[in-house]
Amino acid sequence: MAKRELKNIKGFSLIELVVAIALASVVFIIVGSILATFVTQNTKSERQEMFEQAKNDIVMELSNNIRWGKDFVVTEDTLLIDGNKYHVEDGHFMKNSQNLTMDNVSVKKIEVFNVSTDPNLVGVDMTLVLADRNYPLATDVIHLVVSQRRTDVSN
Amino acid sequence: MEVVISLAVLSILVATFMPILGWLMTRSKATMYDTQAGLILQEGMEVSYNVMVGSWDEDWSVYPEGKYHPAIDVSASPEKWVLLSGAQTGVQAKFDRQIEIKPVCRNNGDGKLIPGNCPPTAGTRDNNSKLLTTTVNWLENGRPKSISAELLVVNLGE
Repeated sequence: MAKRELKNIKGFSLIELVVAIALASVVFIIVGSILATFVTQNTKSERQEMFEQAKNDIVMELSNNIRWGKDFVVTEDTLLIDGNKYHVEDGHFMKNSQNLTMDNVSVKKIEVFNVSTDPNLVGVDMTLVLADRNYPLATDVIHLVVSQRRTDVSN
Repeated sequence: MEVVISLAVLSILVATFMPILGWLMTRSKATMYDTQAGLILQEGMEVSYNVMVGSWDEDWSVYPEGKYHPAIDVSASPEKWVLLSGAQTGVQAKFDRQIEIKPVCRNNGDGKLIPGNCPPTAGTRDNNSKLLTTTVNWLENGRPKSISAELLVVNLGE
């Protein structure tokens, strides 16, 4: 009597269960890895965007001022253009006392050289190493090469 | 039967999304290379401008027509930019760069530039102008890519 009742109960066989679990695992692994890749990529993209923004701000500011500046003093870690001093202070890239970098970006290293062919012209070769303040291992480098423009043609 | 259908659906999903993901990653890499190439090109133009402007007192005799690449002369004091003969390979491990110095030919009538060789009857070679063409080449998935930009340097002081 008891055996007959058990046989009438409908359900999944062991093989069906195993196959279902295997399929679910495959789907889970694929979706999981896609999600993980997406999250990692998203974090990387956000960081890259942050660095790009910082690079654009610095490069735009310096490029124009170097090209059309008149009076220069170039030392290893400071650039003085027409009375404006560009330097690094507490990890921030500063123009005089104004911070030109975002709070989550720090400047780890600055190197400035005047490598112009003409002593009457300035040619700046500058390297800035940026880091993410929240994840200092993530860094990016700005290598800026700009020549002052000769605007005085009477020489 | 259900298992076969499930596997088929799964395969279709994977087959649909994997190429899209691959394409997105390829595009992202291509954009990164384009940006890098642009910066290398710009760097070459800035250096060539500085070198040519800095050496026009010598009538540009130091840099006759030809192909060059930028470098820093570390033996000079202070160090300075120079153009070395020939193209440069392996810039940032991937890019080739060259700066070509070409003579400038101007129309006898209106002084406008004449591209290519100077025709003896219509144009005159302008010794106070040089055309600098910076070119950056690289391979992307085995296909050659290239960008270039021209800069006309004119010595107005003479």
